Amino acid sequence: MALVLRFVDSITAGRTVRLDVNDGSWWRLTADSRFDPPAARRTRVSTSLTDGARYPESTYDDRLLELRWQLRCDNADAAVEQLALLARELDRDDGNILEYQPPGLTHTMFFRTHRLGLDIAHMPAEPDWLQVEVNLPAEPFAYGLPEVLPAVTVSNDPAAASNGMFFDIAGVKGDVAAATLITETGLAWYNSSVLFACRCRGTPANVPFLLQAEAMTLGTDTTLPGNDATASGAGSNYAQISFATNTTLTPARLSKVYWPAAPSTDARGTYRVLVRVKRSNATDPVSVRLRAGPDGSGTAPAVDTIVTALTTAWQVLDFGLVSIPFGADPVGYGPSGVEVPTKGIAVILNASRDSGTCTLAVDDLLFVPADESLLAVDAGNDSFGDGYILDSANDVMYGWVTSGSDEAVDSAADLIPLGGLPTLRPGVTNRIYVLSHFRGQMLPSGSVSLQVTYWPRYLYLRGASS
Amino acid sequence: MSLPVPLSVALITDRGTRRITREVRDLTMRDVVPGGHASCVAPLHRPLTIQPDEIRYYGRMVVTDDRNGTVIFDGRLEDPARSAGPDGQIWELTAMGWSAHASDRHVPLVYADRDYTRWVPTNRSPQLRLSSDLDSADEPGLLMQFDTGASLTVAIHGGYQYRTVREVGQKLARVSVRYDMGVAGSGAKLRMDLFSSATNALRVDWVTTPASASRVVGTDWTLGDDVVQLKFERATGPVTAGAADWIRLDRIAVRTVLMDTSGTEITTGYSADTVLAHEVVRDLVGRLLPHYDGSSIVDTATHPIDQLAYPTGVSQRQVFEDLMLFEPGHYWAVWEKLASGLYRFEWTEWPSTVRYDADVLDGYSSTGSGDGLYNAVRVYWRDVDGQPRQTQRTSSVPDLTAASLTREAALHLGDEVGSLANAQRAGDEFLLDHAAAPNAGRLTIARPVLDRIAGRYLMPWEIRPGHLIRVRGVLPRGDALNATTRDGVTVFRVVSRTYSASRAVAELELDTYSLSTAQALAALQRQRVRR
Repeated sequence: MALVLRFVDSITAGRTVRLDVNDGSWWRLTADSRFDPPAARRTRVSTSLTDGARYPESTYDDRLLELRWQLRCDNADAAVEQLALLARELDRDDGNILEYQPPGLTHTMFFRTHRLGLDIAHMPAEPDWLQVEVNLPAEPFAYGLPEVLPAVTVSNDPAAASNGMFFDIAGVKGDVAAATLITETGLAWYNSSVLFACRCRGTPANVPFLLQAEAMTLGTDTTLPGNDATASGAGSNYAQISFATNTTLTPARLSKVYWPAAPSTDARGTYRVLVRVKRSNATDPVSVRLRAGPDGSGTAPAVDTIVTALTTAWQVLDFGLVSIPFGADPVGYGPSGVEVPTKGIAVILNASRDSGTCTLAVDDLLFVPADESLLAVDAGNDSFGDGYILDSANDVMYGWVTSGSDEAVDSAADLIPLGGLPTLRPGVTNRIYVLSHFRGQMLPSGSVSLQVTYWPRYLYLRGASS
Repeated sequence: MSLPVPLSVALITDRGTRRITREVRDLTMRDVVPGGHASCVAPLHRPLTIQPDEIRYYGRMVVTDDRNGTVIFDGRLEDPARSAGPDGQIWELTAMGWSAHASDRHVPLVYADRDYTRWVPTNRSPQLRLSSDLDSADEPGLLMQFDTGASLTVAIHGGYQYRTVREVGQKLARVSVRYDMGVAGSGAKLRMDLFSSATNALRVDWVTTPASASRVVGTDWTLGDDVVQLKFERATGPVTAGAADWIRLDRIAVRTVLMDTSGTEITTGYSADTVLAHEVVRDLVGRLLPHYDGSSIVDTATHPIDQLAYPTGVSQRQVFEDLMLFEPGHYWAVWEKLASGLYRFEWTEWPSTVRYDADVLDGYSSTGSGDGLYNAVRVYWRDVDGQPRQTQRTSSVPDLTAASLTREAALHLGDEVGSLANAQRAGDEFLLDHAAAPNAGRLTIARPVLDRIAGRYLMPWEIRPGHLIRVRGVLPRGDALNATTRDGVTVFRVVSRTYSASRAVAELELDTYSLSTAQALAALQRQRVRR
């Protein structure tokens, strides 16, 4: 198979060739062409106070494709026409897509190039061949053809037997994080919210995500009344705080020492803690405080205290970030590179009622991983009514209409996505958490259907199995 | 960890949200205390011939930590500057933190007013002479006296009126007065009348021993009255006025009705002539700062403020600055937008627990100037009778004592916050703050820093001012291990954090803003003219 080098209109299976620049007739790519991997770009911090330097940030710079051709010019007009075609491809406003497949490689790959003109076009000593040189900057990573994964249904019940507020993707191809598209369709999306988070290291199944209230130690005025169909899990699935003997924040209502119970490396991380509660009336002032951390003296440091909203619907209290372990963490054992396991933390829930007779039900505590990427989305009344797409390649979230044969971007004025869009990483199991209506009731009865498409990305060239 | 800086930038307007992270050339964010989010600059390559939907005055600019969704900066776009040059066409977007909202309005305000110059004569009989007075204890007062020999009929013969509260659009909450007469008896009265409702709140006999009286809204008049009068009434007569027919009024104090953070008027609880700083803060949030959420206001102020009046106008930021004169252990700050749609507003104390542990390995500089040490301060103000006053406060500073040196600063309170009690408080707090040399230095952070309170490591952009930091690698001191305040040597207050994405470092200013031309110019621009 001859080397493939051509400008195309898309990175899809149905792409159209715009200009073949190694057609063997007019264009011959010469051996001095280079497709070097992207250079590193680092910020270096160094002082005389310590040996060595630090690199607080590092990124890949654009790749430079050094393309060298021989262009047949026995027909001057035709040769100039070919040069013009090349110049036009290089001059496209938004850059171009250059497909490249060396001889013997199983898979093709694509470079997204930037707009640039010709560098050199001259007549060498050899007659009838014009030497053409282009130093073409391109995005750092080469792309593979899109991988369309089967749709997955994610339950909004964290205690579901499968895909409870998450789904896993393994076997991702590529060398670096893939350009990822997550499509959700079929869900009316007004005045809603969704939270996406990623855990893409270790064994995601060991992440201490769900802590059911009924699995915690019951404290003052706290009982397990039974089953609530709107709470997560089965059987006796929520705890109730009556404030019968104590209405202050002092006593522990629910506690877990330690969470998770067993030390592990997968427990290590930063988590955003959401607590799902429900009041019995909408009038009395009730507050909830989360404590998390070491439990040496029987109490752990307070994370935050939240005044519950005056509603009898389920509500989700966002307590912000906690870390496991709490405090100093070496991560590794000396310079060995071996990650040391971490013990869990004490988790304590306090609650107070300033007046009245309100009781408080607690469903669960969710420890959402918050150290890789987390995206919180608020959609107002002007948002779309069909579905949405998360597009990490273009760093955008938008509405998506899929009515009949129509597929199009849907306008959404008051859609606010803040944080990092989820991406897939090769060589690991990617667990993506999806919490629908996390600013609302986050009812466990719902589910969403998601379909993931990704374009693998490569630092150099694409191997047969990658 | 060495990765791309995981921050994303979004512009939010009523026409949608646009994530512009990949388009910005750089990102520089600054947080300060007092104030909170101060500024964020993000140069953007865009054609100047198009007005993008997402670039609008007072549109929202949000910088988020992609790892956890935390908002790092939340501000309003105020300066979308444009330029064209060798670097191309650039929109230099500058967003200001929502602390700028505290400068949006310049309005007259009165909280506690003892200024006699605002009491003006009213309805007085021709024979009634009104004047200011200084008694044997040098205490200023107001005098009402009849011409000797004048015939006094049964009538209200006039007096003094205070209408400043009406002028500023507020309502009376409490009026106090101390009174003393030349002769005792029930034939003449001192009255306190509310003008709008024609309510008589006080009517007392004459006494020759000074007596005090206070009247409050709800009990003595209905909510809404805004003009009060202190008058002479002849209850029996006619009589001929003698030399002892005089009333002397002093220690006159007026308070206005406060609001809570939701803007609801507080109609009870006015048991003192003074107001506390956190009460004023709550009032400002509820009255004039509708975009702030007031849940994080702590009620820990202790100094009873007896003079806080701005009848010629003030911004809320300036009121906060004055409150911090009396409560320098407190600061105000505005941070990110909450789910309620309001911006998180703090009025809180400087903590007494070290939050951050860092070292000097990435860079440290400290001027440690002795110019910040003072063992005396003279505080000037304009008293209730409009006369200039001053008081000197002193303290003991070991370094200055050892050098046999007295360094005396000057503070000017004007008449807006001028009173003896306020002057003494402001002076004492100034000296406390200047007993140790402020660092006025910079600490560079290029690596994660341990947050001892949250128990996790923070990246440089997550560090917030308003907390104490312990810096290893400088002179070690045992008492730095359990420090409860800055010591200028090892434990410092973080007063600002500037993060630059291109350098991937945070620069912290410690104790005070560092000595620079930019800071000096900013200080000049913020200077106020005291009245």
